[in-house]
Amino acid sequence: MSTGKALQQSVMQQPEPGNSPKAGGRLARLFRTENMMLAPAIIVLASITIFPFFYLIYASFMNYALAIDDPTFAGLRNWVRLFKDPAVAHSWKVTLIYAVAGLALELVLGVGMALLLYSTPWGRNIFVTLWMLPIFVAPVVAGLLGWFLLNSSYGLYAWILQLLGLNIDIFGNASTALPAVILIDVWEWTPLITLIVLSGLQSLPTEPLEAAEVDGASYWQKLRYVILPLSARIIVVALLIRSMDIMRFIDKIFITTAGGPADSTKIIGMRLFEVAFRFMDIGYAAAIGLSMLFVTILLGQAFVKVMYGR
Amino acid sequence: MATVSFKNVYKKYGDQTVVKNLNLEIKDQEFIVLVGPSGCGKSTSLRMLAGLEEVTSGDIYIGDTRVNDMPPKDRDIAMVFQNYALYPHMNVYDNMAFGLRLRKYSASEIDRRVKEAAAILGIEHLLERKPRELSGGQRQRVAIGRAIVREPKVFLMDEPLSNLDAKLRVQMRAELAKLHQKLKTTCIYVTHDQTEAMTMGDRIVVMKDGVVQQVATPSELYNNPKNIFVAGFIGSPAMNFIDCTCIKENDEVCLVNEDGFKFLINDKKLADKLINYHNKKLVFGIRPEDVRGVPGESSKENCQRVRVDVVENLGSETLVYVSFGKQTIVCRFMGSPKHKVGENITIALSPNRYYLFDKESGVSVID
Amino acid sequence: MKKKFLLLLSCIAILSLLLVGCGGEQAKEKEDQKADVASGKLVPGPFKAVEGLPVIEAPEGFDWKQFEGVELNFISENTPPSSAIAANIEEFEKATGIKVNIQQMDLGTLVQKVGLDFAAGSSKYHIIYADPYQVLAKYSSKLVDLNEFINDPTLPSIPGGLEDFIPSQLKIDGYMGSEDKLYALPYDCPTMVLAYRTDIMEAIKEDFMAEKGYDPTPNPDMTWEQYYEVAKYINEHADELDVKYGTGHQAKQYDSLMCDFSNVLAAYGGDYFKNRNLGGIGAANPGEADLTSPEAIEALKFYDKLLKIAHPGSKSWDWNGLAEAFAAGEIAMAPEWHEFASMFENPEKSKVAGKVAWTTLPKGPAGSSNIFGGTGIAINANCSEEEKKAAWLFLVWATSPQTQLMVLESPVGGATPSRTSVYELPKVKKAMEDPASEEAKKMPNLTSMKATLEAWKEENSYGRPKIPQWPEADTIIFTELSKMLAGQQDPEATAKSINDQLNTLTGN
Repeated sequence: MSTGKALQQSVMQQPEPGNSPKAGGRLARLFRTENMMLAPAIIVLASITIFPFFYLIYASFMNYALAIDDPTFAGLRNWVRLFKDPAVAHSWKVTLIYAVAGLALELVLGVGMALLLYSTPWGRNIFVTLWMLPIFVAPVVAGLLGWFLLNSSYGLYAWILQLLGLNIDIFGNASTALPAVILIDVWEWTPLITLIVLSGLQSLPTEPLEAAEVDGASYWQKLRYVILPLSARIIVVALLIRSMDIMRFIDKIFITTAGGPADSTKIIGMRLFEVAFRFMDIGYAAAIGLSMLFVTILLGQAFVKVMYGR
Repeated sequence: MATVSFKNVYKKYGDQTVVKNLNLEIKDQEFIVLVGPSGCGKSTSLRMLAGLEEVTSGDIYIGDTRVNDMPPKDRDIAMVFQNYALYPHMNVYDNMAFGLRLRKYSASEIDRRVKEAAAILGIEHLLERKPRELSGGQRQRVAIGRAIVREPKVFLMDEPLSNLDAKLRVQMRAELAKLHQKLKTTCIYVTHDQTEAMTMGDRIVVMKDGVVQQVATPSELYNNPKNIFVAGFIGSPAMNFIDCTCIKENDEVCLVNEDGFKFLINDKKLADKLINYHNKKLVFGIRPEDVRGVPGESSKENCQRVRVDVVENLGSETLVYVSFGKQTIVCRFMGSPKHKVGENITIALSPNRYYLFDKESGVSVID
Repeated sequence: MKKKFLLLLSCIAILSLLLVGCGGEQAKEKEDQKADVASGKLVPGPFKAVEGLPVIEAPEGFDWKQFEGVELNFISENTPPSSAIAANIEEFEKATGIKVNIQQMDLGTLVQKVGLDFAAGSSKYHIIYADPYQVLAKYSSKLVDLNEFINDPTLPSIPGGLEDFIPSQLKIDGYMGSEDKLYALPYDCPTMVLAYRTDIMEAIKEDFMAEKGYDPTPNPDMTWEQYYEVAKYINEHADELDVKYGTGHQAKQYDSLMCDFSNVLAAYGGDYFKNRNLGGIGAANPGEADLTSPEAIEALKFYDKLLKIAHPGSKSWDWNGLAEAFAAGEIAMAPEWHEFASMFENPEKSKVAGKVAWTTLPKGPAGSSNIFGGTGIAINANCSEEEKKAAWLFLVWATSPQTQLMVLESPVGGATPSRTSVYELPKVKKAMEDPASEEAKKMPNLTSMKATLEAWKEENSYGRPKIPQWPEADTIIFTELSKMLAGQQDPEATAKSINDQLNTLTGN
């Protein structure tokens, strides 16, 4: 019966001349010059992002632990392990502290510095340049700098702490190592927040600010009721960028503590690195990586909602 | 409500002097307009009064208080900005209430004032809207409303109408004038549009290059401009100027130039005064409405044979651009056009409504 | 980061396909030429021979230049011998016409790169610095069985034979699971021994002896408890001494922590697994973990106690951090890799030059244990036949006694020869006996060599378990140890945690 219907349809379609140019048109549209010109870019993009992404999903269902060049199907093993692994849970906990504390400090300092620079009457460029220096330093170098400064044999800060009678090793102590790496991150990335927020501030219309002054606002009132609400979006953008990076950038931790002591600085990115490149357990690493991607997407969504929600 | 005075006020940015020795006494309840081309220092003067710019030297008083070093919030002024300067993240109600809230008025008082101002401006139905949902005219009303609710000593308006289209501008002009009559708050209004200045101001301050040219009522300014700049700036179409030389011939004082221009000074007193200007360069000025067309090739005195270049029909009147030699003159004739382009006609210059300025200093020779 | 890795993987895969294709054809041609080589008589190769050492020989008529134009990549940890080899590679390149690119990096990166190379089935790296635990144990199937070449009469043989390598090193570096296949030739062999400051020991000797009744100067008979006592004594008298702490350790949450602890563990008679033979040729399945044995618990307790009085920086130092602190004069005694001797004796890098002496690590109830950290060099099985043979020539040359001596004497080297014959050279012997001699100044690495040779003896040497799961096992061990040192868990809980995780990891 169904074949009869199909036959009927095809018979009905065939004599209709209007249909075939339409189908041809679609194909022609696909090969239009502009599409052809875009094709190389799309193909390159697809091969460097989309293909690896699907490969990652595939890898997360495979077991590479026994033979790295000959994976076997592992079913949900990697994913079950991901949710049951106390080490991963611990790393997420560390990541949460690291990210929340780091972002909070960077936000407060970054916005504060941006406001300060924004109201600096002269020499703003020089201050901005000086303040921005850490961004231009490679993260590895930032880690090394932190390491040198805090090193207990020859570090400047360690020496100062020793003069103050505090004889602790900052990276060797589970309670101080995490704050230390957070502070290095803050040192390096606060200027980025400043840069983004400052550019936002500089593009604010001046008239509402002057209106507020005439309306009777003190500096703090102006800040609270006009400047901050008007630059909220740009601040959220800065935070979004940083929150995505803070999970992934492990250079500093790699250099200074390697995740220790007692796993106190092993953020999820560091754990991923370890599973992927030390244990060469690509399947499990893929699962961890995808979970990070998922969290990043959720975070991004949340930030976008905040941004357009107001 | 209060008086405002500027005393020897200067404003400099580095080497550049933007406002030069500004002296101005503004009376209580007065509506005063600062007018001039862009860059003349009018906005800067207003912003110094608002406290948004520092005063380089001199003093500014509101009432009896010297306000030079007082922050804007303490000056009890309200300002309306060219770009409205509404707070984009607040609705209309909050925009208007903001200043009152900062001053810790009670909620009921704020509500009363906002509603009242909204009623005056006809924006009661917009109170919940955000500025981006309003038209330009509505935004400007909100900006004015924000100033009104404060019931300040002085209103400052910085080109408030220049972002509106022509029709709306005329309408708002009238409304602002009406509003001022109602509130009677001292108002300082900055504009580059002489029509706005002429129609709204009790007195007008004409400024150029940071220097006050003349402070006077609109009619005084129109009739007795102190110098060539004011004469040219006030009135539309602008006054015609003809460069000429003063000569004395057989007891008669004449103004002539090489294009065949000749104007006989009838006024005896003026003629006596012009003796000093013998053979010197003067600028003869006459407003377009003071030029008449006369029939025939009249050779009567103060008549001039000219060629018609352009005819602009404005309905109730006609602007005719004529020329002789290198000189062009705009004439304003009542009614619809009677002349054709290319035609040669004779015009008569009014024998008693004309202006004379020293070519060198630009100062009026007639007092 | 994951994405990048996979992209790399696919790139490598494509590239390697291309490379393998070309390599194969070339090899065929050379094969024909080689058929003429006569067998039987051996003649010295085109290298400068050193008196007293076995020379590099090849069958008569062997064309040393037959692989001319082949380019080999040698991936190595950034260790002194590779720096020295790199500085002297000209000799090999001139003699064979083979171009060798030496890429040096830290061990972690090396393991990653080699892993990726194997994963892609490619041979981006032809000659591999095969760490016994992180490369050999896991990837032995990806390495060429060197017996192929040793038994091939047409190729140069190992000068002096396999017997000239130090036997324990050949076992650890060369074999995996059984002695059927030889995967690597011993190349370097850092070993942990005890470095101490002679000036400090002299300063405290008299008072200490009066108080405790024995000589505080570390010696082969010192026990760990005595070591603890001396360290503590120095801490208490640090004000009067030119030092801050008695002992320092490489106890960062890192591989170094496992090494440092292993010395104590083995000295107390414990080990990570019940199977005590894993340290030699290793095994694919180690069997049950053994950290909860009374001996291991004792070791954990002692190590925890020892680290409490160690320099507080210890918990943030790997071997480099420890060496810097020791060179800065911060600590009086430290279990450290013997190859740092040249750094300690270099006045530009060290405040303690001339004041350092070395001995084997202190004894526990089961004697002294000094962890061995040597490595061999191996050939990637994915190489073309021609590349494999060219690589073999390099292996023969690089591990030959004369090259090992060159490395020892090199100003950029200062590494440890893996050849018995080198240590029997009179000048080497003299440098080891007399640290003040001219020879010792030329080869500062040898100041620690006497203690190291002692440490290599069967009864003093400790080899960590050589199992494919070692990178994970290592991480479990040092992470849990780090938690113990941070005061988050006691030694018993640490032992149990390590045991459980090791058993889960190995499926026992």
